[in-house]
Amino acid sequence: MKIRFSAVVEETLQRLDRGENLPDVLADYPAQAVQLESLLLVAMASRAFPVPIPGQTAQRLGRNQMLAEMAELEINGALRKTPAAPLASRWVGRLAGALRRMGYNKLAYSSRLAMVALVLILSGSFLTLNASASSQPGDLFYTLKLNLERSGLVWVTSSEDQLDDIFFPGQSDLRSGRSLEVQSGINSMLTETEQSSPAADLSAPNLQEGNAAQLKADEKKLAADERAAEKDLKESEKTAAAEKREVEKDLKESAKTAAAEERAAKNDLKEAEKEASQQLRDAEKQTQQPAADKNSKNPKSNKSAVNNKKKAK
Amino acid sequence: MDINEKALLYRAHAGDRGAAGTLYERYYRDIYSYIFYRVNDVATAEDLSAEVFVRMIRHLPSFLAQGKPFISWLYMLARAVIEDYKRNPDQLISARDISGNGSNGRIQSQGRDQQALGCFQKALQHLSDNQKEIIIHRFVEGRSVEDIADLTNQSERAVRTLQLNALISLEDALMKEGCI
Repeated sequence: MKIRFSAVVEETLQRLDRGENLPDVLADYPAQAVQLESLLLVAMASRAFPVPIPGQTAQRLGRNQMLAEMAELEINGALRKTPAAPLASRWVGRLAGALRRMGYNKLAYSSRLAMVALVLILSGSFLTLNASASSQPGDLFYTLKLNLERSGLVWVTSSEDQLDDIFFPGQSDLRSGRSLEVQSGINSMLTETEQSSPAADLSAPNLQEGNAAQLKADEKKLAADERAAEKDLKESEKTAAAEKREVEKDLKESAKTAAAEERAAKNDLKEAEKEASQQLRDAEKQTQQPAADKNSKNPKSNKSAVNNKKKAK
Repeated sequence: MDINEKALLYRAHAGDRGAAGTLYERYYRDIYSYIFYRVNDVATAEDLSAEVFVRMIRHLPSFLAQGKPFISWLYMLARAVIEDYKRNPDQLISARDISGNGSNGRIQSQGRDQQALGCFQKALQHLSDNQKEIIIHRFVEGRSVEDIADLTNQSERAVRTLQLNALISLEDALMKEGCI
């Protein structure tokens, strides 16, 4: 209840601050109007009391007292011991000191601003480059990363590329080859530019226009070279993949052939075994025939049966 | 705390008298006004205000390590100085006594207003320290509840409740003093 009433008091005070009349304000709180009115009157009376003005002498004396304390602390070495200013402030201080030693005692405010802006821009660019280096597709800085890599301003050293080097060693060679090509392209263009610039007979504006045109042409050529290198890279990747597929196919076929040959050899072996066992059985039958007469009549046949048995074995 | 104020504080800490002077000029009136209504005496308020700024210089390193809002820290110092004065009034070294000059501080009011001010000051002395503080910050200095909450490190709700209690107590005190 008290909490709610304190909120009402605060709200009515704010309304009075905004210039509303006391009766209008009280009309909105008929149940609490009596208590509210006396409190608001006290509050308004308190607001009417003036802010005291300190005496000039006392103010000056107070200031001197403070400065005397400061001097004493300085003598005792208590000032500037701890804590140190933040790192950024210290660096700015050092920079200012260095400039002072160089003779730039009174740098204009605009110059200081320009210096601060320059430092901010440089550090911002550096941080953005760092942030873009580890960005992934879909990230905010990924487009920046791609453009920087394409322009050749940044060497690719990310872990992703190191993995590529491990799994696709050919590609890194191609990439380095591409960068070499681009570099050689730039070198050759530079030489061409140097050779083709007749410095002596050209006026300055013409020279500038010619240079601009040459630069544009160089840029176009570079872009074309880059596109061609990318195309080569893709083609070589395709060829490597096709070769890999062919090798795998050959391997599978040879494995199939070997399995078929093995199966055929096994079949031959089984057949040979069957024949041998058949011959053995035949020989045994021959030996088991009513023997006595045959043995007496034809001892040669007996011998041949034994020979057959040996053969079969 | 804005960056200029922070720079001033670091410069003052490094021994820059100009920076210390700027801080003094910026906050002296607030501190003086607060102390004046707390102790109800011009000369004592001047002495205690000077003491607050001496302590400010002395304890600046510990404040910079804390990173609190500077104005609330100054009011904290002022509260501590008033407490010390109440415990032992003779210990306070008076700048007035050293220099031999009297105080020339004043209140901008005349005639009937002067009477009303005297009445208000007397009534204020019936209040507790917390209630006095809230009346000074809210109605004399004209700060908002949010600002007071920051200064006194309390919630806005607590400040509103304290404000209500302070107004009720002040009404009673004014009646006791025969002001209303």
